[in-house]
Amino acid sequence: MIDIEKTAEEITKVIRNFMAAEEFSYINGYMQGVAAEIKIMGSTLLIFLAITSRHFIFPLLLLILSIFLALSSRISPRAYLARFYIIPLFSLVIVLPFAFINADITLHGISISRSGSIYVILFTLRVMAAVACISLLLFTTRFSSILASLRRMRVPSTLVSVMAIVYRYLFTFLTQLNDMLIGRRSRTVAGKRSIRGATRFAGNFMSRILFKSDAVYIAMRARGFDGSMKTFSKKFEWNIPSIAYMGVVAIMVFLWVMTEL
Amino acid sequence: MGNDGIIEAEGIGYIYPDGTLAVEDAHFYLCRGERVAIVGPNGSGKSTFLKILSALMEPSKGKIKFYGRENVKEKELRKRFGVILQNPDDMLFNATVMEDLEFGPSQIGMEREKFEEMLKELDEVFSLSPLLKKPPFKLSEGEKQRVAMACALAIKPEILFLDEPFSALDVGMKRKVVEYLNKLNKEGMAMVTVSHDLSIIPFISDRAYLLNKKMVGEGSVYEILTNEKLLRENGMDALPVVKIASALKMKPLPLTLEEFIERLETK
Repeated sequence: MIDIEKTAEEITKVIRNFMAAEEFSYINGYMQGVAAEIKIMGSTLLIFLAITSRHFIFPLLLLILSIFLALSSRISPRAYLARFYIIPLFSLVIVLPFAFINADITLHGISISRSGSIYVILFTLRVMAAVACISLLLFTTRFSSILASLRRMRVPSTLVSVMAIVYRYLFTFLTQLNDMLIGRRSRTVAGKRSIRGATRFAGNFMSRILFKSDAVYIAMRARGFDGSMKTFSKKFEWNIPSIAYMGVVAIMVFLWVMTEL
Repeated sequence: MGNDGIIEAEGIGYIYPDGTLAVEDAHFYLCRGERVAIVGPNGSGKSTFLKILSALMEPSKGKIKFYGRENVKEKELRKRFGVILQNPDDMLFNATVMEDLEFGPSQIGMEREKFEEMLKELDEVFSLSPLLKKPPFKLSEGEKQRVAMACALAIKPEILFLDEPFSALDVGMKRKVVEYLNKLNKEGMAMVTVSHDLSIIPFISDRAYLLNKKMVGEGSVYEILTNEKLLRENGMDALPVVKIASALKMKPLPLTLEEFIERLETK
């Protein structure tokens, strides 16, 4: 027995929430005021520092900072947490066995490994801080601004176009999947599910998205897409939020150096 | 067709890769500022033909000229052609409505200020303001259709191709959109409308083609919509107002309810 319908529905819900979060980028908050280039560079640097950190303190600080910045950007804490809890949770499940390999201490009757447990906590914290940081960037920056900034930062146009197309197709495919799920549920009488039904559903989905990808491509061409993604480019301008954010990043770099060296 | 010719298509045929015949030996011409309709029953190849006319698909056979030339760069046409596809979901592929509206103008290199001016104008007609920050999947079907139309019009096209454009709009919005499209037409925009719903045709077209895989009829909107026999032979039904007026032996036949009432009142 396999409940592909429920799994697909859950995945759709999570990714749809992820997409819908772009509404926050239009709110007049602190991070929304920071120039996209500064945000991209700052976030990339902070994520790099978080994943290379050997101590708890830096990822923990970065996590607290991200939550604070999210609140100052008027992002609802619920929406923010809902967006990034899944990935760290998933990574925790993946690395959790390390806590029990070569057990050397006993805690409440459970044998665990001290070094393994530390690794599990550190790894999860790193992932949590990195995802919180990237979520903050995506919550507060319009996708088109990210693309425009990447182009201005001389990222190859092919890479930017691929990113844009993947993002767009993902979005339409999810709508398609959601429609299929609704259509299927509306005609489901008994709750009996089988592997054959699940594979048939997956097969149907694949052929539908193939058809849909053609339709979307035609629609993109109809509106002038010629293979290279163009966006309205807004000139880069220094402003107080951008300078303040750079200051925050500089402090975080200093803290990383202090804790790591 | 003279210097005013925009599209000239002869002997157009299209067969899908699976062997399905969509269009066979169809012709079409369009001049600047014209309002033309292509009507036909379901599955008659109208949408495929529209995609060929708007240079989104290559015909399997036949010749098509744009602005008197056979080999025109697609890029050149995209700046002039606005296309509203039948399914608005295909047209709305961005994270927010605003990004969808920006997509076309930014691809053709329109200046931001010009786009913002256009957006103001479109907002008045399509009531876009409350939708701008929303993701398209959160919109109702009617809202999606309004946004899809605005997306195509945002580039200020020279020719607008519409595929079943009013199917999800309510009566009030339909009237408002028709008025706006006709205003744009008076300013020079040509329109090619594809529809199986004949009731809208008298409001947005002067000339019509009847397509049923082949081009089976051609003439003024009056000639096509009052030819009950031709419509019946091709799986379509004449408008109720035409049937009633025909039974009452009215001459000339009215094409809209408003015309019919006016005619009755003057009688």
